[in-house]
Amino acid sequence: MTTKKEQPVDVTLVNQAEEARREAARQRARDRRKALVEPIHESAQLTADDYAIRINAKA
Amino acid sequence: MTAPSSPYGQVLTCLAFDREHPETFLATLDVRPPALADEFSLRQLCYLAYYLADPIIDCKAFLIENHYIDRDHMEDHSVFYSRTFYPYPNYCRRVHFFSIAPSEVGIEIDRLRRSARSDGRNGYLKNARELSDRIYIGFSVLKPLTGTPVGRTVIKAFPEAKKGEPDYHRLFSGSHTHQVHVAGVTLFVKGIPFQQQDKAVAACATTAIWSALHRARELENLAPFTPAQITALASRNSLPFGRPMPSEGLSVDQMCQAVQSMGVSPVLRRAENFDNSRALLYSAVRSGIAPVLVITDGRQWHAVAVTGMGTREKEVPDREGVRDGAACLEALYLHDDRVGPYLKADIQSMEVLPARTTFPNVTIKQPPLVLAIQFDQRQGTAAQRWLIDETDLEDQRWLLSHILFPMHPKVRITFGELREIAIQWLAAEIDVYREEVAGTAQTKASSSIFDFETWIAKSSAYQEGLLLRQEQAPDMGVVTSLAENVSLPRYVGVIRFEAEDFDRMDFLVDTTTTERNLHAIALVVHAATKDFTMGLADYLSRHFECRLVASSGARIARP
Repeated sequence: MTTKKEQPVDVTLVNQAEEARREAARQRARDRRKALVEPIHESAQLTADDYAIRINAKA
Repeated sequence: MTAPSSPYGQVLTCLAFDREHPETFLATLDVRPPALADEFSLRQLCYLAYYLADPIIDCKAFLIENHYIDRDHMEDHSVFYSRTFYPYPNYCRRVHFFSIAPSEVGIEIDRLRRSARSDGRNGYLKNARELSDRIYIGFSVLKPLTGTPVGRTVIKAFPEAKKGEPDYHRLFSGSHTHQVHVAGVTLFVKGIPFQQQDKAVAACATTAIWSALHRARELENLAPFTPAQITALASRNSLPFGRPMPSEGLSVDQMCQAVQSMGVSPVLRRAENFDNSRALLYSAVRSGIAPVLVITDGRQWHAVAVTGMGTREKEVPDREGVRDGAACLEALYLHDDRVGPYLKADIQSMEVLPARTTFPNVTIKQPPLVLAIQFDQRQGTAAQRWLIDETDLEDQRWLLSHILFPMHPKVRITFGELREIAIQWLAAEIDVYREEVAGTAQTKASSSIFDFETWIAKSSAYQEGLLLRQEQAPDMGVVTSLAENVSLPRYVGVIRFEAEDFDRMDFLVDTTTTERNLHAIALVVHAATKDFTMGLADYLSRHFECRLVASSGARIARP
């Protein structure tokens, strides 16, 4: 009786699959909380109008 | 104001403070506004009187120094008041406040003087600190400007605990200790300086910066500065609104210029929506920074300095599995030069449509953060709400437009970025780990809520904070390991997080780099009482390539 020789597992492929799964989970987590963080690069960009506000309240 | 008979003469007068009728304080000082001044010109002094009369502050006596040279007034005098036709003196009066009867003030001060002989210098200073804690409330400089008399004022803030409301906490993290020399002795008071604007040398923006930078100055030993210097620095490069003196107000640009010229970095943020604004304010006050708020009531723009915050322990619902500690922020304490020091302002959210109607001068896209302030303007007095009949109080609502953070120049990371790291990186990675652990069934991972708060601290202060006895203090081995094995920059960004299934941890971020080159320094595990803790900590520290700091019993070997 002969036993079937086990095929060697390609560790690189396993690691890549693991990392891909993690990355997908990471992205899902980020996407669902996207609305909670400040949009630093978009609407929060300051313009000249922000700096031109004159502060002069009556005492 | 009566000058002492000799130019070197000093007159000290100690009088009783009438807590039942605080307004008599003004009459005793003989402060009357000029005939042409409006009826509210002594509002700040009146506010101060009511503040001192509060049973918690408990002022019973005040001591008047009749001749006091105040750096700020001297500078204002040299650049402005010395050149007026009216002969303003260059000296001020200074009033000290005590929580003991007038007859006892002299006895206590004399006892302190004598202790210098018997106890030596160290003993004397220890006694001075103890006496100050027990009886000294602070001081207020009274300038010889009867229309705007309140000069540099440092008085103690309300205590952390609020009577009758055990779940409400005040935090005045920007308060620092001031050494005061009076009657030949040294006293100490903890607070943030306040003064009112005079519309000559300073406007509201100037005094807000002046108050806020005192904290930065204390942290980094900056050179002293006065309102006159701030105005000069603000108007050195641009004059968009006319002459600098008499002050016609500052632009936000000029405010930033002044802060930058002082050696402090002005980090300006637009306050776009309630949640983010609240989070930024919480982190700033938690960090011991006094941000300057640019606010509007729909007609005019105003600037105030934040000196503290009020938080309430309460059940806060999570959002997408995360819960920001900033959600417990309920009120801010402001140095508002229109009113007085430590003015309480409740923070509120407002719907977009009513906000657009109330504040037509601002572009509003999301529900903004609004400050609700109450004070009595009709009688020219301003008081905290607990002192007078609430029906007398006028509600004022100010929309928060911008926040100016005076930061150390080497702190390149912002509070917003720190929060983003917490939510978009840390919380996400914990989700990844949870999924992984749930998949291998190594331990029972639950999807409990990620509680976090963020702040920026001087590394030494952060480490001291870990050492101090507190609720949920980390193991001493953790503190020692951090001190002996991790090199920290001058300031660290701290993300403190925990959940039901793992213990409290601090994720330390290097503040000296920018968002594209962010580096985590260490993950400090306060305790390892839950099964999930060390596995998660190990995973996070490997993923973010940072040092794992844990107690020796729970140690996972990391290079």
